[in-house]
Amino acid sequence: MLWTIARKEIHENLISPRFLLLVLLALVFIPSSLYTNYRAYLRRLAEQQQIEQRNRDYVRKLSTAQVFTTPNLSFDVYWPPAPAAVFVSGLEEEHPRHLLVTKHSVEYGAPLDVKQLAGLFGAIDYLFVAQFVFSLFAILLSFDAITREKESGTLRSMLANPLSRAALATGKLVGGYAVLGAALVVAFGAGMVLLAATGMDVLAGEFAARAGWILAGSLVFIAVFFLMGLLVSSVASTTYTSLVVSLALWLSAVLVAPRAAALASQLVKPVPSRQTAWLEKLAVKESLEREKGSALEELRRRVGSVPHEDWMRRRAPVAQVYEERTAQAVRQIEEGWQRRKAEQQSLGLALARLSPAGALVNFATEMAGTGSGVEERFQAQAERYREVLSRELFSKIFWDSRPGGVSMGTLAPINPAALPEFRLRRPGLAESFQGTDLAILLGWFLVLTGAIYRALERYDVR
Amino acid sequence: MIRAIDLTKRYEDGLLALDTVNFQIKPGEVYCLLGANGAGKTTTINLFLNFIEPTTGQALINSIDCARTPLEAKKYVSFVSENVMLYGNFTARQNLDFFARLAGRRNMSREDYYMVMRQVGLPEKAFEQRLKEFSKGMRQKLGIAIALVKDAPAILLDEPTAGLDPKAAAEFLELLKKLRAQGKAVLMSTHDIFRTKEIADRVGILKEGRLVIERTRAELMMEDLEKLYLHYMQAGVA
Repeated sequence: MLWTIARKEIHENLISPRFLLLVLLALVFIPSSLYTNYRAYLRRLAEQQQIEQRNRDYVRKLSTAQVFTTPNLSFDVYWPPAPAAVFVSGLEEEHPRHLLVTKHSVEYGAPLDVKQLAGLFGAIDYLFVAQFVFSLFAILLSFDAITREKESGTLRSMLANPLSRAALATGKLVGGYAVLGAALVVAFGAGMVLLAATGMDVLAGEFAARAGWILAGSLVFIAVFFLMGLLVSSVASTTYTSLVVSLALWLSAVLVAPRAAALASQLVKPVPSRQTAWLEKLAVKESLEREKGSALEELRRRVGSVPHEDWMRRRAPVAQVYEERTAQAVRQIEEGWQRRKAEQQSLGLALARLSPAGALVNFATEMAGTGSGVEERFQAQAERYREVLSRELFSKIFWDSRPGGVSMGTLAPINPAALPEFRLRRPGLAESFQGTDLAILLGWFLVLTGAIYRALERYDVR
Repeated sequence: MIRAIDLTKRYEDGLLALDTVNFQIKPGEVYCLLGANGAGKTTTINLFLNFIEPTTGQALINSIDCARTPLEAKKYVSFVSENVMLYGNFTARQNLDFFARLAGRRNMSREDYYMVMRQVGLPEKAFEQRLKEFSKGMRQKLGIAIALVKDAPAILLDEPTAGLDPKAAAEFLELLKKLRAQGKAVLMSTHDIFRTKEIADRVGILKEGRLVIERTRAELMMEDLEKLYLHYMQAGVA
């Protein structure tokens, strides 16, 4: 029975103009967006490698004199583009790819790229096609799946046979979803073939596994929207009502809910801008630097003219107090800002992930390595690198403000060429896997399926 | 084969649509249920198809309670409505195949379907024609073809001749006679007194949910059905 209904649904969908349009859009947009994003990935990778090489050369050639005569000495670290960004751009162009590691903090560097039209209108990638195009067509394929049968009377004809309503619902779901899912899988496969044909090693590392999970997540996602349309179709008495309600639901679930979540988090947990935090840190550093300069001048006046080694010994405890105060104050500002930002982000994400679109976006962007967690990890790793540099370099040089000039030098021998390089550790597949998002999507799937069964059981066939 | 025992249906809004109705239809018998609009004819058929549940009483098909085990009961009944509702984008053969499978007939070949369609008088060129190009009469014939394919012993017909031209209606009655000859028990709700006289083995008249009179073919030989019908329609329900 179930397969009879499913076969009929497949047949009906395959000959419907809606399905043909979906296949056409999918076959145009998915492979072309993968190809375009692959070219962008290669360009970003090449640019990044060039910049990193220049940076390495600069550090290698850095002289001891240069180190302690550069007052705002900083080291650049880069987050290389993620290969799976070909599927999901996410925050790839939004988050800083470049950070400056300074003595006291890690600051945002200048962007490596200038956003073009895609930044203005929004880029098309696989996630866009799955999230907007496929979810819309999922609704459009299912909103009249049952109302059409009610209106034409074929539902009565079917139910006059030994067909249970559960089998009817399952057959509708399986048949309708089979063509929808097949369209996505075929277009995705075509995109992968195109990537391989244009030189990408699609089997390298975890790329294929990440691609598979992104596809799996989006398959569950579009199933949720298919079910949403089917549920409305089960409850509504006319196709027109079903269309209006289904589109309103789509609009709310895909466009409004995730944005409303971000808005709510900004209202509930406001965070000052990065620039404000940076200016605050700068003000504290300058103030404490002046205080340190005054304290050292006072000390110099008290001790008078002494040999350099003696002065360095006397200077150390005074300077250390200010160094520590500066480090502590800067860390407090930075940590406070990071904490507030994390709280806002966490609230926004938690709310957004309740919607299917929010859950899919988080799942796919984390799997692609272009999600909100990327910046956090990048910052954390740059902070650890700063601690290494502090131990190996910053703690061995001094730079004291003095009226009419500066006093600078080294406290211990330094060798800039031997400084460790920033080693980025990318999150592995297991770390990128957001099981909660998948569970949320599956939860939606189950709730909607149950609601459809219930609605059809209660439907009055008269 | 088809039996109503004290069949009663009161809707949620309090309307008593069917009131303690009793009848029995044997194999090879055509039972016509006459009545005005709202008399309870379609409600009776809906109860046998378990589209609604009885308030009290039983609707039995092949001695199976339609409310208790509806899926089992539906194995033994075919249904043809006033407007046979099929899929316009499918051909006649595809519709037949779909409903045959729903009825549990899975091993039928294309030729088997063609044979049934010939049997009900559909022209050959219509076999692979889409339903949206069919006339109402052709749809009715396909509806009967679906009933034939299912080969159920009981057949429910809801106003099957309404809107058919005289030729199509006459062809339909011929098909019905064939079904009767095959031993099918047929319950037909209708307003059509003329065709009822021609085909019915027994007639029941429903008024405001009650079966006010039942006559056999033999009894009707001595009475004018039209007068009888009008008499009961005008009289109050006792």
